[in-house]
Amino acid sequence: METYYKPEDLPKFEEIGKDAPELAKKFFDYYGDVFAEGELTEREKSLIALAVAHAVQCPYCIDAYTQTCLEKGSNIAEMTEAIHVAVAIRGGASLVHGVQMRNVAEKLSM
Amino acid sequence: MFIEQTVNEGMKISSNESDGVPPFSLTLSQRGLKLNREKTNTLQVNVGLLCNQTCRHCHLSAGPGHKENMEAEIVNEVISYAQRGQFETIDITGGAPELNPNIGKLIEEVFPLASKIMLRSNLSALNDGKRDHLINLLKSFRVVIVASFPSLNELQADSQRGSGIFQISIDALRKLNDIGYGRDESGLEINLVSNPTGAFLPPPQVGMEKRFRSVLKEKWGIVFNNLYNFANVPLGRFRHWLKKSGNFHKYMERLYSSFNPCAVDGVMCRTLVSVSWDGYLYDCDFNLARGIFMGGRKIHVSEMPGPPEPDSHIATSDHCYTCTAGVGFT
Repeated sequence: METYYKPEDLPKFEEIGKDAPELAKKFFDYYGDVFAEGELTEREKSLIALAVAHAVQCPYCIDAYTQTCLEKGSNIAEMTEAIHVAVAIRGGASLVHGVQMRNVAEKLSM
Repeated sequence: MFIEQTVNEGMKISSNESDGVPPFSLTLSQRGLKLNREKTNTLQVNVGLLCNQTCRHCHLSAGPGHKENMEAEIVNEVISYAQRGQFETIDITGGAPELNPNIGKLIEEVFPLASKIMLRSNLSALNDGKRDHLINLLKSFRVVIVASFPSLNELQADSQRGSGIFQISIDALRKLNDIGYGRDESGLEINLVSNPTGAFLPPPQVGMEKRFRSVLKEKWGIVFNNLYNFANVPLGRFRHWLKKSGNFHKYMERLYSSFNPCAVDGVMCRTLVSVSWDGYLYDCDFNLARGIFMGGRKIHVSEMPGPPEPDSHIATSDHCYTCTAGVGFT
């Protein structure tokens, strides 16, 4: 069945630079630097990336960072907890807007 | 790709199973690299395929019920070879070498012949309640224990090695710590080996060792000397699982794309010769699993006057990409 998301497209990511090479170079250089060992370890950064991948619901990123997390030494329990962090923030972000709802409702209500 | 060397027919794998990955020998030659022997200082002894576990990553498909077990006559041949070869290290493996009835004799008689004796253990065979004599022997002869411990996660470890094995391993490590293994100044060394619990490469060793040291100490009070992270070799039961799960080609590509020319210098086959339970020689335990004899020629340990000559040919195949992926495999 045809689908917009194809696993074989992931390795083609670099082709995005074909018609805008300078911007692509800046992006990929930056990307590489972001994930290099720094104050956070590469393992910790890959767990953050996995959580964000779920928050933005990117199948390519989920595929790539599941493998990366395993190869950086994280286990499935740690990866699952990381996803729950993303879920909590996403859920919390919706719920906290309830305060706006309450403000508006209070203004309109007698 | 075609395996040109003489192979043990019983272990032969279809020659074109790794389509999509260039032959290892071609990858070497394209980079101007050669894989020949240096001085061989390690004799690895595979005493057989009998094991109490049926680990899913096992490159030898070892397990219960295997009849391949080194008999006393071959043990004597191996001891004679160790005398002739003047190896620095004797590395004993299996299967579960603890289950071989001749293991005590082998350890006792090679002890004066080499400066280091290693025993590769799955921990559960060593701590099955019937091996206290062997544990005391290992301690007496200061045998270095190299113990399988794939993951700090119980579910993942048990998934690879069998239900309940994680907790059994923890108990065994505590027992070995209690008699001095892994303790400062005891002279008793225990090293852990962690293999990925699936079709992915191992993490960097330094960071992983730090985490294992911290978690094992904090949760279970366990200490050890070193942690080694090894990639799984696409042979035996692991190869079967890769194919069945649809991971084989992607895993081979992963190994190939991680080829590190600098790792070629440090691969163990340059300095090791492996002897199987029936006395035949191989360049490493993986070639043994694949049935590719040492240098591509079938030679029995009783025929060898000494270690293989420096600069002699090492037989290769597609599984060799495992030892050159990333930082390599020793």
